[in-house]
Amino acid sequence: MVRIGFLHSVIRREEKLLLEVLAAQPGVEVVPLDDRVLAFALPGRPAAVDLVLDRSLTHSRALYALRLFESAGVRCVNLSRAVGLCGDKLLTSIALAEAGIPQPEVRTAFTPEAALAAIEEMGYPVVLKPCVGSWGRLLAKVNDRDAAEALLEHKVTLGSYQHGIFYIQRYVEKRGRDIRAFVVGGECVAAIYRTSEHWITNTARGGAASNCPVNDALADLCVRAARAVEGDVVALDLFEGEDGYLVNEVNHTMEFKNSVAPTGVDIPGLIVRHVLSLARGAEIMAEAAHG
Amino acid sequence: MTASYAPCPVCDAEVPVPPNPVLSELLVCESCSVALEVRALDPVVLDEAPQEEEDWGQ
Repeated sequence: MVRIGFLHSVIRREEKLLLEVLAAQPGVEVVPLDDRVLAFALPGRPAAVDLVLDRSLTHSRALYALRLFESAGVRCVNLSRAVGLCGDKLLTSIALAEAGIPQPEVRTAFTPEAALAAIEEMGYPVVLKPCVGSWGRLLAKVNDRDAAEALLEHKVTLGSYQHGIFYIQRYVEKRGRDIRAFVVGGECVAAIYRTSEHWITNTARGGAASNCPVNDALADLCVRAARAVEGDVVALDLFEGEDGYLVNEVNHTMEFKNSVAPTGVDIPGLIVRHVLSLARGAEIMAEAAHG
Repeated sequence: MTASYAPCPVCDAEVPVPPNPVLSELLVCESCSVALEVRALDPVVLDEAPQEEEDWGQ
């Protein structure tokens, strides 16, 4: 019997699809791990599981919970290292740059004055993003100096200290769409176009999903980018630049409910298959260790 | 299959419960649009879902 710890907050459509696939697998027991009731002791393992599948909505809780499970010898999907990298846009950009993955030009600064100077040097428009955040929250397209000065002041005055780490990305003209691609276990399994008249194309913000055929260039780039952040199961957001694809973001607890129908790919089934292959490997190693 | 319902704790409307509900499942009340969470299964009890926080996402 393989025991899969299912780390979660609220259960959305994605989590329910995964739970349904897991429930249909012979020899698999699902152990729910609600991040609102977990408590850890060091050292120790809060639940007897062979692997933890992270589906927590909360980046900070997931990051620490996964690290604690790993400390107790439990394999996690994704690894806490991947969650740490993907959950912070600046750390993602650094990892992508170190791996030579093409991405939109990014600059960062730690004071409004330095950020304004960086923006002026880049030229308008740029996009200001919080390092930690998702679903298009608090993204700001900055078209001129007046807007830049106001936004930078607001972020410092109204935001937490994290909003004083200014992540500035060159605005990429998307011509109404971008790409979301899914990598599971080192393979790019599907991709969608996200189309919207708004410059933010997230499906959470109303972007429409349609199938994007996965060509060799897209697959190769996505797999390399997933490897750069050590992601087992990740979704990449890409722009179609004039000179090729640019990786915009890498998501570690990917949403896929709007992508199964247009692609025809059983994304939750592929995730579960990958998770179980890792879990069964971990189970065999644990049995060998205990004789 | 008989459809099941549970009362919305905010507006008291009858909220349709999907087949095979699970604890912590997120539902939305079509009457008042509030996000709800399944807190008990037999019978199904709904409560308001936690509010979105800054580090929520994917």
